This record gives sequence, C-alpha cells and structure tokens, in this order.
Amino acid sequence: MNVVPLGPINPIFKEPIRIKLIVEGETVLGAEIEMGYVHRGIEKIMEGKHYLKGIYLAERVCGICSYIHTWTFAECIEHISNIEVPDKARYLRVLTTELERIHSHLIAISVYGLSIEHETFGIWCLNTREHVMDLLETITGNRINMGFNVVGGVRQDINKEMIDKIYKKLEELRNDMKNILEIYNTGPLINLRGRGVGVIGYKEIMKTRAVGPVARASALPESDWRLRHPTYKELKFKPVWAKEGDNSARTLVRIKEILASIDLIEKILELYQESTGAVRNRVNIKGGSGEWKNEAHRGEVTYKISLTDGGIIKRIIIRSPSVMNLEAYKYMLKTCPTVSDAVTTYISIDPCISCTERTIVLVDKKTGKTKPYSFK
Amino acid sequence: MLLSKIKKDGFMPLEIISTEDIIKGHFKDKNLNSIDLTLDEKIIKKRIGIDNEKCITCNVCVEVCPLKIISSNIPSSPKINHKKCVYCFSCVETCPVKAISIKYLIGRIVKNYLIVNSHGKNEELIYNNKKCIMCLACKKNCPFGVIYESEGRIKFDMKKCTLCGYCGYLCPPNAIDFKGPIK
Amino acid sequence: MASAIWYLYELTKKKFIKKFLNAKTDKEYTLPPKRYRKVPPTVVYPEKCISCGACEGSCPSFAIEMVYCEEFSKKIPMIDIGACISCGNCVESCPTKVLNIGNLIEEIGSLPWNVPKYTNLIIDEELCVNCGSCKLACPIDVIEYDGITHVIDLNSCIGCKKCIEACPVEGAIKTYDEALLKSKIELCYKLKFNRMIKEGENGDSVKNKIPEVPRIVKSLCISCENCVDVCSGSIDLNNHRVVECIQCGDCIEVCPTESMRIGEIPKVSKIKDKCYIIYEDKCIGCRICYKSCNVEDAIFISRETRLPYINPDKCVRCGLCFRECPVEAIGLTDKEDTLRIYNIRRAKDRFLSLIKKDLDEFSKKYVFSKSDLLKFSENKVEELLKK
Repeated sequence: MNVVPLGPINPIFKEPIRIKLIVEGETVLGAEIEMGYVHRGIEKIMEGKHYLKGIYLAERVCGICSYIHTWTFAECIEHISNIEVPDKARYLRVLTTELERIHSHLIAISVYGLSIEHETFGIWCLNTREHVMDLLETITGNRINMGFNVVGGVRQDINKEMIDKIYKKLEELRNDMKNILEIYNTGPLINLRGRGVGVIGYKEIMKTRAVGPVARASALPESDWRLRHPTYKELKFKPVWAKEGDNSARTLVRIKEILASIDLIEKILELYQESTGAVRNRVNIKGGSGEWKNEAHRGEVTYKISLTDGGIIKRIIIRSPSVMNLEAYKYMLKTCPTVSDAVTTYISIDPCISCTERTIVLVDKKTGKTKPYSFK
Repeated sequence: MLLSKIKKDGFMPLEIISTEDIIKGHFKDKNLNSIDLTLDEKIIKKRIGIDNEKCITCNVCVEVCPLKIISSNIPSSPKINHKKCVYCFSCVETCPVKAISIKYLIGRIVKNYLIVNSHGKNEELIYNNKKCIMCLACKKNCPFGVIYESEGRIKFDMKKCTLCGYCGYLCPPNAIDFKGPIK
Repeated sequence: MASAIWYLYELTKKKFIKKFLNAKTDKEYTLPPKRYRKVPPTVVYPEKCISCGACEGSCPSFAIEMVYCEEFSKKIPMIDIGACISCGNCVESCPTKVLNIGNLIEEIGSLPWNVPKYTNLIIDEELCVNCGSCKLACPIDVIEYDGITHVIDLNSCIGCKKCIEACPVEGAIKTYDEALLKSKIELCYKLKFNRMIKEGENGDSVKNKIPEVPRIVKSLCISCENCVDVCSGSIDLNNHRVVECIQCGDCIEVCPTESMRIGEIPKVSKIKDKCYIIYEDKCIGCRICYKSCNVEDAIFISRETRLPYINPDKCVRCGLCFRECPVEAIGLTDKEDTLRIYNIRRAKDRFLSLIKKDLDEFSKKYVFSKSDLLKFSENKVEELLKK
C-alpha cells in the first residue's frame, strides 16, 4: 500500500485541495481528503453587517456560481420579511441564473475534457462559454461577481437591444452545444475514459445524500430543487437525468442540462416580454429568521439567516452542495482502475472547494449529539 | 376686655351672649384667642303692641296711621295688622296715653359675642352711593313715595319721609342705613 | 494520437474551415458594454456633495474615505482603486447623486433605495423631548413623529449623524456600529454556550446581580434577540415584556442599543452654560411656549405676573419655545440670568400658593360659621323680643 498525494496545487485542480490516494500498484483502494486552504469564515465576517453588504460577501462564497448565492440570500430575506418581488425581476433572476448555470457547466465539462487529456474538447467548451460570459456582461455589467441581485428585485432592467442579442447568442450557443454533444457521444476516446469509471449506484447515492448532477446521473431526478421553486413551476420545468451513474453520464447530464437551460431562457424571455412594471421594490426589512433552498449548479444550496430590524445579519448558515458530493467520491473510487481515473472521477463530480470550506457539524437527530465532520 | 369697653361707652347693651361653642365647632384646630369674628350683618327685629288697659279707645291712631292698617274696634282697643306695619312710630307719637309701644332690637356679632341693643325711633337716614346698584327696589316699595330717581342716582324727599326703615330692610346691598338712639 | 484523429474529423466539416478562415476579432468584443462597471466610481458632481458620508458607510470593502478638499472646502469621498469591488452601493446610497459608476445612475433612477451603513442611529423614546430638531436637521427627511416619539426609518437612514449634532439631549440618539454589534453577538454566543454547559452540570447563572427586573424600551429594540438567547427566564419580544426573570443582568450586557434598562435616566442638556430666557417686558402671556414644551417641569406660569418662566435645571435647550414664540420674547443668555429669575419667581410662587391655600381653608370655615352664627343670633333676638 502506498500513498500518492495530489495537490494542494495541481494543474488539473481549479481550487486547492489535498487528496491522498491509497494505492496498491495502479489500483486505487481509498482516499483521504484534506481541506482548509481556502477557508475564509465568511459567515463570521457577515455577523453584524448590513444585509446589502452581506449580499456581496455571499456573492464571493463561490467563484463560479456567484449569482445563485446572491439569489438564495435575497430570496431568504424576502421570505423572512414577506417582500413581494415584481414579476420582471423574478424572470430576470431565472434568466441570469440559467446563463450562469450554462457557464458553470461548461467549465465543468471543459475541465473534465482536460482531465481525460482531450484538450481540444476542453478549449472548445471554454470558447463556447465566452458567448454566455458576453451575455452576462451585457445584462449585469460584470462577468463573474455581477452585483446584479438586490433584496426586493434586480438592479437593472433589460431592453429590446439586449433581448435581440440574447436570442442571437443563444442560437449560436445551441449550434455549438449540439456540436459538442455530437463530439461527446461519438468520440471513442471520451467514452473509453468515461464509461464504467467511477460508478455510483442509486443505493449509495441515497446513503451519501449526494445532490445535483451527481445524483441526477444516478437516476434521482427528484433531487433537482428547481422542481419546488415557484418561478420554475410556472415554466413547467422537467429535470434531465441518466441512470448509469459513471463519469460519462455525469458529464452528459451537464451537457443536456445546458440545452434544457437554453430552452428555459427562451421561455423566460417570452414571459418577460409579456410582463410589465418595475424590476425592483422598495423594501422594509423586519427582524426574524428563516430558511431558503435553491438548486445551484452543483446541487442544492441552503441559506439560513436570522436578521434584526433594519436588516442587520445576526447569524447566517450556508450549506453548499459539494460536501455531499465529495462524500460520494469515496464510493466512486471502487471502480477506478488507475490513479488518473481517480483524478478524472474527482473532476467529474465538479467539486467547488471554496463553497465546501465551511465548518460542518453533524447533528444526530435521535440523540441530539453534535460532532464536527471530516472527510475520511 | 370687650365688656369693659362697652361699659366705657356708657350704653349697656340689652344682652351679651357668647358664641364660643359655634365658633369652636368650625375652627377646631385654631386657638380661639386668635379669632376675632365680627360680622357686618345686623339682625333687626321689631314688634308693635297696644296695651289694652291703658287704651282709652280714642281712635286717634286709626286716623294717624299712614298705611291705614289700624282699624277701630269699639268698644275694645283698635286692631293692628302686624304683617303690613312698617314701624313708622306715627301712632306711638300721637297716642295721648302712650298705650302703643314698639320694641326695636338690633343684634350684631362683635368679637365672638352676640350683642343685642334696644333702639328707639330712627333719627337719621344714611345713603351710601357707592354700594347702590340702582335696582330701585326701595322706590317701588316705599309706602310713602319718598324715593325718586334723578341724574343716575337715588334721592330722598326728606319732608315726606317718616324714617320707618323699610327701605333699609329691603335694600339688597345694604346701601341705605338708619341710625337711632340706643336705649 | 486520438486528438489528432478528431482534428481530421472536424477539418472535413466545411463549417469549421469557414470559421477558421474568418477568425477575426469583431470590434464589439473589444469594447466593454455600457453597463460595465469599471472601478473606481467617479465623483461626477463634487460641488453637490453634502459630505454626509453615506458612501463611506455603505461600502462593503471599506474602500471609501472622506478626505478634506481645499478646492471645495469640504470633505469629498476618495476611493481606493485596489479595494473597490464595483458593487455600486455608494452610487445607490448617495442622497444627492454625486457618484456614478458605468451608467448605473441613469438606470436605477432617482428612487431612494435602502442604504447600508456602518453606523446605525436610533432614537431613545425615554430621552426624546419631541422638539423636532432632528427632523429639521435631517438632509433626506427620514425622521417622522409617530404620536409618541420621533422615529428614524432604519431602512432609509444614511447615517450622516446630523441629527445627533442637532439633538439637544445628551444620548437621546444612540448609535450602534458593525464592530459593536459583532462584539455583542459574540458575547451573546459565549454567554449562551457557558449557560448550556452549566445547565448540564449544576444549574443556573448568578441570581440577583441587578436590583430590579429590567424593562424593554420599545423604540430602541431592533429585535436582534440577543437577550432572548442569553435569558434563563423568558422574554416576550413581540410585546416588549420580560415575563420571567432571575435578575442575572446578562440581557443588559448583550443588548447593542441599551434597550434593556433598569433605573431612571435623566434628561441632560448638551449646553451647560447657556439657557433660554423669557423676557417679561416683551412677553404677551399667550402661553404658546408653555403648551408646546414637552419636558416636564421646564416652564412654569408665575402666579404674580401670570407670565411663564423657565427652569434652567430641567430645560434641555431644545429651542422649541424659541421657535414657537410669536413675539420673539425668548432669547438665549447665560444660565445664571435665567437661574436668578427662576429663583425669584419660584420663591414668590411658593409663598403665594401657601397663602392661597391658607385663605381657601379659612374662608371655607368662615362661611360655614357665619351662616351658623346668623341662625343662632336670629333665634336669640326672637326670644328676647318675645319677653
């Protein structure tokens, strides 16, 4: 038995993490994950701050899925204070989230492509992503940390010019995505490296409580929290899913989700053009505490906030999706023949380390005892 | 001290009655020596009467009475209507045998004592212009028509006046006062 | 090798070749869109700035500092380029629309949005004298009178502290900033945790540390529930009432706004050496000042002259009477002048009221005894007459 350390700085990792692979020859027997390189204590910093300052900190919880955090944060506060959001703002929020989902998934696919040493595929995905980034910049003003969402609506309205641009870009994007899907389905190397590697079944998914595309690739479409969101219910949203549960299926689910997102955006734009009014309401924040969940690009994200009158954050709890997905990684390792497959599997679950770096405490519901969590 | 002063004046009042009990009843917490209660109000009581034994039934009083309230009652002495009498002393003065008499008592409260004096016929009318409110109650009720109004004030025709004191009794602000000898 | 095959496969597609040949960068890709928020925000109209510091307080990354500018002879925001995160909070919170970033100001319109701030202000109901000085001083009109006290709208206040400068009473407007809140919340969790441990072992926290059951000042409560967290008994925050109390004093320690309170708090004026005075030769005795004054025992009416006079010990120098007076009979002078007049008037008033009380009593007795005496003497005279 030998230990192969990966990270914390590795060309294939987007974010710093240390994985100790326990190997015997080439066969991977198990893994240990060490974290703590990007722990920032955002929840502690937020304590005592005004909610409009807190929303920019929430935006910086994750570098890729920044918008979904502000959305969940804003909806949580709106839920506590019973604030009604204008229709236009609701649609614009979904529009931006879906654009961001496309960009996040494209990065995940791209990094997966790089990890299976198909660099062309990876760079193509990143090239396609530029369309989305342009759209995000046009709509919100910035590319990653958009600062678009505020409690009570969104900051700016979009105009006719932008809608035309979105339609034009979406058409290009759809063509590119169809091309990528074709490549992905027919490329022998991609399937060779993906099929049957890192398999996780339905039973293990239920045991590890994995969420997001990881769960959906293992025949668990109900894990999509968008099914329970009021705005998505209006759109009659249907989740994408697969049943194989291997690396290939996970990436395929992401690609198909991008196509589903493009359809969603087109529906949203129709609804948006029918609606009228402002995009932002003046809000009156009341004290209280509440909880709100949303489907982030990697799975379900939960915000639990308690506020004072005037909107000062007293306590905030953020639960990000990657924790459970990393837990699922242990089961996937059993079907990894080589060390490089172990890396690919790790990439295929699309972990977001800066999301995951929170203090995790497990509570036993029967006895009420608490203990800190570690990945072993 | 009060008694000695009264004695000095020479007129011994008819009666001096102490009112300490009543004053004590109201000013419980005060020392009685510190209170000198003197009231402005006079209590005037009059009574006319005919001595039947002295009367000779000459009926001069019937003729003399200005209000014609004495009626002859021959063979006995004349009758007087007490209710209407204004005590003008006309009958008393004319009676040849002094059979008619008037009792005229004035009581006043001076320094916690009730002092009652017996008076004779009024000799002087004192009219206080400042107190007068021009209600003209005196003019309307004067039995002899003595009082008349001129230049915004009340005037008295002293030739007619009999100094009966009826106007003084009626006057609401006590603007008319009478003075007489103390017996 | 495998990727080389894919190149060949793709090369056979015409579309790819076309794309390859037309590989030019469009000009529009090099230009940032209109909405692009380039750091830092620009100070567009420095002459309109009122130096309120709303932008400084609203910045989540502490990138703005108010620096004195000699050209305009006032403080003007200076933005640190390195720290700015281009969030646009300063642009939204500026009451006079001085700043701009991208084209944000044109798009968000002139509506006043909620303003994040470093220092929050709140009015103490028990100390407020309802003089309205703060309302006059507020540059954005967010202070309103609600029938009991003046209230600052927590959501719209920009935290410029001009009301604190205008307020005549010491400590009537309380401040609580991020650092204080953070320390109080931390203390609250510490106490809560300690209590949880102690409960597991032997029992409650220290009893009877404070002399009485604390009360909750309604206008100061921001419902942060710090007190509820540390309380061993129970607190009903909806009705602002302490239900059960062991008088441990923990809630007073953790309250960030001094809303939890024991004992009386006196109204102390900021101005000590000066005081308002009513000039009796000018006063027409309309008593508008007496009616408008909201401080207890600050203005009395003299029994002798029937004119009002001011008690300099209770007066908070709010100037409400000064503003309301129709004939300008009220002026500001040294405290000693007011105190001298107050002492004379007060002594005379006391004397007169004493006499009046005595006279009242005596005349009541006199009337009763008079009627009794008259009745008695009438009876006596009647008796004498009959004799």
